[in-house]
Amino acid sequence: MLLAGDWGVAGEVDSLEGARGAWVELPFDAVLWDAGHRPLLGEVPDMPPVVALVEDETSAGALLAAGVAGAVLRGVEPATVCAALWAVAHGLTVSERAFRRLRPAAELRVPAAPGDFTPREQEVLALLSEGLPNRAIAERLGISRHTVKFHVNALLQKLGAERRTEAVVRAARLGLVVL
Amino acid sequence: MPASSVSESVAQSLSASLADVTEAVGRSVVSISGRRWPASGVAHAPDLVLTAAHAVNRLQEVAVSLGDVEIPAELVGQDPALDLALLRVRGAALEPARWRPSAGLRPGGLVVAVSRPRGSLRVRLGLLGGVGPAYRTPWGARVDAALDIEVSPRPGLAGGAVANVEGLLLGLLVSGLGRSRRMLLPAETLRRTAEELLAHGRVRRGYLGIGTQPVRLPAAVRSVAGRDYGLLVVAVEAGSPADAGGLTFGDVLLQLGATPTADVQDLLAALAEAPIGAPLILQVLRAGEVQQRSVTVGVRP
Repeated sequence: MLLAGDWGVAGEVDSLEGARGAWVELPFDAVLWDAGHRPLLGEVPDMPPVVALVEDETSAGALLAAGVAGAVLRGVEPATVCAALWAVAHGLTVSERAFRRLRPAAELRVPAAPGDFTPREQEVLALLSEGLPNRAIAERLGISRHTVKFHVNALLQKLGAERRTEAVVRAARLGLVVL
Repeated sequence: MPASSVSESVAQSLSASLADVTEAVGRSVVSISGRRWPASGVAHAPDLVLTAAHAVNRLQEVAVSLGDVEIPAELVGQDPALDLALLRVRGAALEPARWRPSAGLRPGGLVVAVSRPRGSLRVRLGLLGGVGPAYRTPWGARVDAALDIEVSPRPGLAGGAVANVEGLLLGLLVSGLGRSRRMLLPAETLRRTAEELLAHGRVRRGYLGIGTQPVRLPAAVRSVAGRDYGLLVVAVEAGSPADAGGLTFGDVLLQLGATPTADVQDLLAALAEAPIGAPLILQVLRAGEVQQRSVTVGVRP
């Protein structure tokens, strides 16, 4: 593998456990791991920080939660990979800017209030709380699936939720879902 | 060598039994057409088919087929909270599946996942990986057992059957936990839901007509209420069961029937179980006193 700058490849191994084993023999500063489609079983071994090459945002979220220090998309420029390795070697956590939902801003934001939702969003919310998919909501309200998607995204964002189920629970706790 | 001939015959007999089971189960597994993604369904009665609701949503025209012939079907009803739909195929004489209730199931048995995407019978071998207690989907629907099936996913498995090696169906594969998260609905859940769909066209869930927020009770009333948390009533729909029962803005709901209500999910769960049309005793905290109120459970609109 080609890495620009002051980086050198200490060695190549076929797994994180392999890297852990190699670390004892051969010190290194960071690990570049091609996470691919394989799920990480358990925690990241105790060793210098790991940058994972990921397929998508979902796996990035899971891997960061499991203890990798960085997550960048496969196929980024070598310079970006180097930047990520440099950052984690200096104690930072890195991820793609495109991974919007991984940013902790949602949790720091002021929680939504009942008045933050438009009447249409509340209608969508009521149907969402029945577990209906977008196309069924679109049918009930007589609007396009596109529009439903737009409203659902707005609801997720306002409620700081990642998933529809989470949005429903948060909205219910605001008293917005009539039971 | 005797050892190899023995293992050969075991392999052969296992292989033959799996093919037999697949064929037998397959007689009750139909193909659902009309959607971009292939899906399957299971015959519940000669003219009734259970399938994943997401496989038939939006469809004006659904057809089921066992082989080459497609028969139009109509939607009897669906429960989005379970991702389950019931179809009627008029005049059909399908072979109803033989169900194996989840009670007494043990993990570790071999299972086959049988589906019929786009008309052709497909099978995957797997294990019954675990049997857990009843749970609720995020939308409040009760599933009578958590059956964990170790089968690799493939398109067309939605609405497919999972059967044991005796050819008895353990359940139906749906995605009621959210997009692309598969779960197996056990026989008890399917039977109960199918009855409800036949009777009402949907699964009716209990309704009071209140919007609530979880609150921590002030120290002074915690001892009176006997608990730390309750649900503050912040909305009462006009004309709703709660309205008729005298609930009002500012009441704190402590208990619904026998269920303490510390969070909205408790309320959702209690209402999913509550018999519709029957009176239910609510415990509410009003003006620092615990009061009992009787409310007739309505149907969630």
